[in-house]
This record gives sequence, structure tokens and C-alpha cells, in this order.
Amino acid sequence: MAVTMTDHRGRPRGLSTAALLAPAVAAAFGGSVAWAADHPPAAVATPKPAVRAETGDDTAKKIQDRQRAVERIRKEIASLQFDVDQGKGAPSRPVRSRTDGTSAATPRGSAKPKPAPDARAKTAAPPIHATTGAS
Amino acid sequence: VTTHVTPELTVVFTAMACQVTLRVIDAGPEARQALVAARRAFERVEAACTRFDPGSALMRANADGEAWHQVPEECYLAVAGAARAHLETDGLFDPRVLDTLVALGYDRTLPFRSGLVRVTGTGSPARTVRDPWLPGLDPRMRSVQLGADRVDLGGIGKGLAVRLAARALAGAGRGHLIEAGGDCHVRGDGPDRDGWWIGVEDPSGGPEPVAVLRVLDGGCATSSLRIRSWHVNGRPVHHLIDPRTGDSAEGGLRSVTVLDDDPVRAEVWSKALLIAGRSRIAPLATDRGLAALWVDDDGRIDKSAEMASSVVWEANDAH
Repeated sequence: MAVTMTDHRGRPRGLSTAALLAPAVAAAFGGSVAWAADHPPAAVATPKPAVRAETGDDTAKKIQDRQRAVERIRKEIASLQFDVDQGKGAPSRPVRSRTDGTSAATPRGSAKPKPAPDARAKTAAPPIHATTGAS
Repeated sequence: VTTHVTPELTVVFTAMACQVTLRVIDAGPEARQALVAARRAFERVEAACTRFDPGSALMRANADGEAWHQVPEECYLAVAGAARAHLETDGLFDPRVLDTLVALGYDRTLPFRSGLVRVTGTGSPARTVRDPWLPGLDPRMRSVQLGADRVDLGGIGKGLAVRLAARALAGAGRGHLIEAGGDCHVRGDGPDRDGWWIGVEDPSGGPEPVAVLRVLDGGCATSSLRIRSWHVNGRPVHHLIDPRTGDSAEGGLRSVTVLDDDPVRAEVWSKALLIAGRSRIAPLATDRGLAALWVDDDGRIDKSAEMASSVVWEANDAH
């Protein structure tokens, strides 16, 4: 008795469709590549970076900006450390920055421990403006 | 009438073998001019008082110590200040250490910040000075007579430069900070209006300060063995010479910080107290009413009663 499996008839049809389409797709892609190779991309106007000599003021400003950044980060660390020491999970108040860029104040009584002349602090050092030491 | 106020002006430059920072807050219209004048004060003091230039006023006066030499104002002020400091400290501050420093191999600028410095020299003290130093001073002619022993004005010169720069910046803004390799001067109540917060460097080299001081107006200086220490013929030495021994001070202290209205006096006493040593520093600071904080060879931090009110934070001890 002859047995016919319909499955066997469907698969060859699908394969032959792909085989028919493949050369057309390849030709279209190849044509695109060939066209692109013959046509360099159009020049796009991009703004050139301004170039100027760096002056002493620029250098001083850069240093000043970095000093401010260092100071800001130190204050943030001090604030975080204080909160950790106080058993808090997060700073009670965010560290704020001043618009004039001077050393940003951390909240009073939060980041800076109160002066305790004879008590050795157990917190991290508070933010500072300058250092005295060996030269 | 509109008054233009610049929030802050900062100038950074190198002078006297250190980085100098001049900072004016709420700068007024004359601030830029004042900053230029302050910077020039450093340059003039350095030119007049350096020992590394044989043509400087100091070294010309050193070359023939028995003769009178007319010198620039900065050199005259430094010599006069050194003479006063010598008397005030009962000889603990003595600038007649130049030949000892040379004998220890410190006869040129040494690369202290690039690691351990090893030099050769005689390694022996030039001489032990016991007689008082009484230089000739003629203010009218602005002349000096240094005497037989060659003089080094390095430390007091920097204090003088800070003092002159502070005068130049006096009216520049709401306040100022002068930071010159360990010597500072501040004026006003600081950027946050709660004073200037000054960290005292760990003399052992740790990154965190050993204390933080709150200063409103005045000078601050630290003498420390942290940087200017080296080996001569394999022997460890440093730049703070004890005039009683003619050798590097071995008093058991690593650093001393002093606050004083006058940055020259702060500089002088920080050095004198370090030379005085661990056993004498507390009674001497108390006796002279000095605001002093010190770190000893064991890393212990201590301070005088005068200093206590200025300390806002203090480490448990130095490393």
C-alpha cells in the first residue's frame, strides 16, 4: 500500500521559493554597494572647534574649577561619612553647590561636626580651604 | 550706583620652591591689581633672599659678612626679622645654618618630592653656634652686616613674603587666602562665613589631615620633616637645624603648627618649637602664649591651650 506524506510535498516548495528570491536580493544588494562605491558621501558641514591660545587666566580658572570640584567632593564625602557615623543610610540633606562656585557649604550640623576642642573626632575630616604642612 | 563684585579671583604660581595660591573672595574693583602686587611681593623676596643665587642680595652679604651691604628692602626686613626672632626665641631660631646645610649636601635645590634623596657631603656639622647672633642693621641706609657665619633666610623669607602679600590683598575683597607651601594667611570670615578651615598635614605622609583649624584673621605656619629630609652619606638628616648641636634637630617631633597674627612670627615659632623638642614644647608654648599643635615621633597629637579653641576637628593620632 502506498503511503503519501503531505509534509514532504510542502518543504520542497518552500525551499524553491527561497532559492528563487536569493539571487534577486543578492543582485539588489550588490547593486547598492556598487552604486555607493562610485558615489562618495556628500560633505556635511560640521562646526569647527574654536581654537585660541590658552592664557594665564584660563589656566588659573581651570585650577580654580578643579579646586572647587575637589572641595565639593570632599564635602560630599564628609557629609556621607557623618551620616554613616550617625547610623543613617543616606545624607539627611543633599550637598548643595553655590552659584558663585566658592566652596559649597554643607548643611550646618550635618556634615561638619561641631567644634569640640578637646574631643578627638571619630568622623572623617571636614572639608578644608587650605592646608598647612611641609613645603 | 552699581558696584560690580566678582565672586572670586584665584592666582596660582610657583615661587620660593613651592606652589603659591592667592585667593580673593567677593573681589572688589582693585582686586586684580592687588593680586599682581601680592605676587610681586613673593618674587621680590625670593630674588633678594634666595641662597641658591650667588648674585642675590643675601649671598652678596654672606660673601663678606664683616662688611656692610646696602640691600633691597625685602632682604633688610628678613634680616631684621631674623635678628628679632633670634632674640625672642632665646636662640632656638638661628639663621646661621647655611654652612651646616651645605655640609649636609643641601647646597642646591634637591628633588625632595621625587622620592628619597641621597647626596654626599662632609656630613658633619659646620660648627656649633653658641654665641648670640647680633647682625649690624642700619635702617637709614638699609644696610646689613651679617657677621662671620653665613645666613639662610629661607623659612623666614617665606613668612615675610606671606606678610607682604597679605598687606597687598588687604582691601581686595571681603576676604583672602594666601597658601604658600605650608605657610598661610587668611583674612575675613571665609567663603561660607564661618571662617577659613585649614587642614594640618599628616607629617607621616597620610592623605588625611591630623587636625582642622578654623581661622578668621591671621597667619599659620607648619614646620615638618615630611618633605625636606634626605640621606647624606647614608645618614638620614633634615633641614631643621638645631643651633645647639649644629645638626638636624632630634627632639622627637615630626611637625609643629603655629597660629599667629603675623605669618613671620608663626613661621619662626613653628621652627623654634620643633627644635625645642617634645620635652620642652608644651611649657614653652604655654609660657609664650602660643597657639601651637604638634605631632611627635610616635604619632601623638597635642596642642597648647591657646590652640584649643581653633581646632574644629582632630584625628585620633597620626599614622
